[in-house]
Amino acid sequence: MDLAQLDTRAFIEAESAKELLLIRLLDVNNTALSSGQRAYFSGISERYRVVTGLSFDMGFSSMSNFNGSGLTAIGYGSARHFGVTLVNRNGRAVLENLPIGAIWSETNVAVPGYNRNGQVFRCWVDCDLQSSYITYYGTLPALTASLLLPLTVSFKS
Amino acid sequence: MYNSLIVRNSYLAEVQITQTPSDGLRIYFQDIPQLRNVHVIGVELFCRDGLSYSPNGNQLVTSLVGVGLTLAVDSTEKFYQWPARSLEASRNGGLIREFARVPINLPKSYITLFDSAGISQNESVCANFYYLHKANA
Repeated sequence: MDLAQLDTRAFIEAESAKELLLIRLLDVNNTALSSGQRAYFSGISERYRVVTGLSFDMGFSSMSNFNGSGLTAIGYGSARHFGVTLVNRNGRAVLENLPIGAIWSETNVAVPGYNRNGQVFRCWVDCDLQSSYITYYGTLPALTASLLLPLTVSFKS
Repeated sequence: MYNSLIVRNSYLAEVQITQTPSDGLRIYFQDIPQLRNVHVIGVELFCRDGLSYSPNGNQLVTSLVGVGLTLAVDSTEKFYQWPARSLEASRNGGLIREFARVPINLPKSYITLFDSAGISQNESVCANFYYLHKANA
């Protein structure tokens, strides 16, 4: 099959397993992050996985009472204040400060600067998910402890 | 149009406009150890639409309309004054510009303010470089 003609999203779905990672925007004291602080992934089913795709998914943006938790997923405007760092098995950061703006899969052509045509960010990282994290850049007045950053992560199955 | 890029490494580099912005001003990238001895396979640029603040806490410019990017290989400016907005993936259907494994010389690469209107001192432009280590290229 000619890969150039293959829909990227279908390709990702076909080769991978997916998991939704919910990241609380909390520091070690369980208070909301301040600028420059990191939040580590939690609730991961396996520590070491080959990550093949990342997406901050429009479907989860600004969803309230997420999965019955009482928590709210942040929206696009807030997501612009975060970056993802994936660390490999050797402890080395291989994707460093990847802006959430690089992995959102927005299809909203009506808002300039937000359209990524529904594409999943494709990568290949032999990842230590427990050591990987997000970093908060900036000063969001509305950042509270009740917010989540939902990431859809694709894995090599 | 979908990207064929499969990213193995990336690094978010920042250029801060520390001087008073003026038309024609060049601001060079700093040397970044992670981006030495690598082959760059893609780049995408960010203004405030996709990233509010840099990892160093500097606010990004509101728009890349008046900005150009020049990337050097050795001492040669191989990619000269590329309109930055065409490298902003979220304004171009998510398209990430791909390179054929280019050994960028970052300290000799820079942005140019073609039109400094609307750009303030101490704001930044961020460039996400996708790369391979030369040993793996």
